[in-house]
Amino acid sequence: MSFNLLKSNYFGEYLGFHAENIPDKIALTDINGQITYRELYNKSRRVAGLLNHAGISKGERIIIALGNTIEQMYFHYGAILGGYISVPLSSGLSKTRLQSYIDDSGAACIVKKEAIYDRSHKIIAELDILESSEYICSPRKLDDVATIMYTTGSTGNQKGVMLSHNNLIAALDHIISYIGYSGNERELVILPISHSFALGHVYSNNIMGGYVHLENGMNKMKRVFNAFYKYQITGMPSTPSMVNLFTERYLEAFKGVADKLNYMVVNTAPLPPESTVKLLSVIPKLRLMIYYGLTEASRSTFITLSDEDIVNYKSVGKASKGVKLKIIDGEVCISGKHLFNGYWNKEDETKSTLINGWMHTGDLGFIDSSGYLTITGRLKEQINIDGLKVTPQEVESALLKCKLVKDIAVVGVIDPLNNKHEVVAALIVSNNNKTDEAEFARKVRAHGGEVLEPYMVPEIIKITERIPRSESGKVLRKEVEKLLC
Amino acid sequence: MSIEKIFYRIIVSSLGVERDQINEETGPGDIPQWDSLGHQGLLTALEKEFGFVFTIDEVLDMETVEELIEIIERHVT
Repeated sequence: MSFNLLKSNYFGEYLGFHAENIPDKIALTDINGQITYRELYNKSRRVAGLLNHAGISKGERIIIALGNTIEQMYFHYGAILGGYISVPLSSGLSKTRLQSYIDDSGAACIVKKEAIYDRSHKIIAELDILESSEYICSPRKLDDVATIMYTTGSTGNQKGVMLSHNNLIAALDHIISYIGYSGNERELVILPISHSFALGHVYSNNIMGGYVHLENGMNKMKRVFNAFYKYQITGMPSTPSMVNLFTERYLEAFKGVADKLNYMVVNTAPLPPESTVKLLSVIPKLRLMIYYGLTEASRSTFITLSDEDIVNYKSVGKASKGVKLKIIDGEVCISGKHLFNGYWNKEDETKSTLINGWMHTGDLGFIDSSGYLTITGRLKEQINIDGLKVTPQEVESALLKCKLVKDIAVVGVIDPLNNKHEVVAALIVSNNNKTDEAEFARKVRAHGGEVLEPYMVPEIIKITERIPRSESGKVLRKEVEKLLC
Repeated sequence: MSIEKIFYRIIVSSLGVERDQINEETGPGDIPQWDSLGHQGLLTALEKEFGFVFTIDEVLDMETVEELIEIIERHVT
């Protein structure tokens, strides 16, 4: 018996449905253990009970930063079932970055590995009292915000994307319908579940009563390949750089696991056609799907590249059912029930992005006569590091605090040595005239490592005598790009 | 210059870290800069410097700096 998502009274209702119908089926595994659907539902309701016991009011934001773990999922579900707003974040954030999210969201508490803390970092509950918490399931209404997913905005500040129960249900209906989840899938999720892409895959499998194994990134590749065998993985979400790693550096190991892999879903950045050709030559039977959609308009288009002619390999597909697309002045605009509710505490940015029911994505593109959407560039200046968004201004202002840096301009460039994907590059005017460029770059990167997330630290640094700027002082980024390539 | 010294010069430059952040027990994932992309960049930089290509078994088995240096030594000596 499958759960009817579109008839949900609230997001997460499927947990109770599966706890009743398939209680002993394994829902999730991670590197430390496993959890059944019954346990997942019970633990989630106990989380709601714990938060209630801690005196936190409904609608408060709960930051959950436990990494790709089973605990992350039941705290996330529990917050939603308890009527709170879950704010999933990476477990590896620096103190400064975490504090900026706490300040922006006004979170009532932060769930970390050791305990639950309040805004002033005082422990308000140990996680081991979870087992004695009461069961609570009192979610808010369908139009209420269930979760805030953070994304980096064009101004360099993070933006909290508010998603209601209804938004989540509509977006997940797109992916479940398109992929055709049956509940028999066995997915491997390596990408961070603090982001919409990977989290959506966990949701989809949980909604249909399927199974997901969670790995914490690709640092231990032997463990990742062992997981393919051990858990008999049939599908996975992936990124273009992961595809490149699988088909280049780890090709021999990947071939060994490929026979059981039925499908792969790629998102976060366009998959270069040559990568598609190579992947399909390694696994000819693979159903290779791409979808397009920002956190604000998740799963808006889909395409199955393995069913398409090579001329369509650059496309991100056609609009999902119930989704409308149009191009306004070259910009891709999206409409549908899945659109986010707005940015948390950012009314102006919400108004300039959500106009008359259309989300203005900031992406440039075109729709052909068959309805296929192709993305051609970015209206805004964000740099896309394998799905993680970096704004030049954020990196510039952080590195300008380094005493060696007099002036700086940051852009994204394609690094041919780095699997052909985009990297952060900086053109810098040094404060010291007699600087050795390699030593200078090392020191600037070391400073960057202290104040920025690792993926934001420029991989390419070149010294220049002046930054190209317009008369009004605006950085001429195209010229900067030429000087860095 | 010894292989070990060259190795540390490259890893410091490739990952953008200070020398004292790395010791022979450090491995991928142990410091934020040594993530999967950092790891790939490091392997490419080492291959370029030492003029060989890591085998798939070497890449999968390597878990610490010490093991990585041992692999390089096997290739270049």
